[in-house]
Amino acid sequence: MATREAGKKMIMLKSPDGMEFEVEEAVAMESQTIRKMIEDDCADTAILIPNINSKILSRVIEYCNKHVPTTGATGAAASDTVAPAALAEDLKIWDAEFIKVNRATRFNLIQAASYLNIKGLLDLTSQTTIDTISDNSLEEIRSFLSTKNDYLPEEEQTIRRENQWAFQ
Amino acid sequence: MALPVIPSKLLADIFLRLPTPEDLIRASAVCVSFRRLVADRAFLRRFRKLHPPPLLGFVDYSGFHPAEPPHPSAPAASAVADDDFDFDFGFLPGSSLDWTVREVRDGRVLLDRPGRHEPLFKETVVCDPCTGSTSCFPRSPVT
Repeated sequence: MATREAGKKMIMLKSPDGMEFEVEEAVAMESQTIRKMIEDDCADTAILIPNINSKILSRVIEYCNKHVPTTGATGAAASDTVAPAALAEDLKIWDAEFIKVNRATRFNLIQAASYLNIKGLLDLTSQTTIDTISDNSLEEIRSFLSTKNDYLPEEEQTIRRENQWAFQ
Repeated sequence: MALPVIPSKLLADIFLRLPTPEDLIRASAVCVSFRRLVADRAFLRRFRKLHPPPLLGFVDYSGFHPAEPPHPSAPAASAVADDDFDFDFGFLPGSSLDWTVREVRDGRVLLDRPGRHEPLFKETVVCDPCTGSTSCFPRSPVT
């Protein structure tokens, strides 16, 4: 396995379109799926990440790089509770910029976050969908999610009538 | 470029994060497959685990008092008060006028009525007006 500098173990991630990404093990382990592979010794040389193309995988790695817990001088990982508020605020701003992508990329990121089991990224990427459902009309939700209304008109009317309070 | 389709299992995970039950209803009105996801019992169990039940109002001797605006659950509460649930206790056996509310606690109502054949022995029930489920207690002498 490649080692870039002392003390930092590197992991090779491969996308199905043939790109290879060398990342620090700690960064890769932001993904619980990869963490499990490494802990189970299934990650000797390189890990193939199926179904996630290089464009999306590089964004995921970018996210993990930013969110990997920073290591202090004592070697102790800084947890969320001790992170200075400014740092948390900085991450929030960074996240907001990171998620300014088109819908296709966002949906691909949701799937990647789910497959790789990266909770923070799944929270971040699915929030827009949640906000859309909470704040918009049914037509707008359908258009956002590219979903067709396959209810019969009378079925939709029944749902609306029986749950009128939810549509006020 | 066509948008990637979010698999239904993942969509369910996203729906779990919806903040309120009315958001769930709105999601279920989007299309048939969304409704199937949201109406699934296992999904609803997970949703209830993550979200505490909304405060719909309170019940006292004179009936149900729904939460009112600006309380966030006011719309749901008014729906409950309007039609869904039977706070006249019509689901109890016999005439609902015979029953007297004795105590209300945690969404359950304790009522009794004089025994028909043995007036000294009261019939006592505990019921949930939201579901109509009722438990009868063994008869006990009036004290």
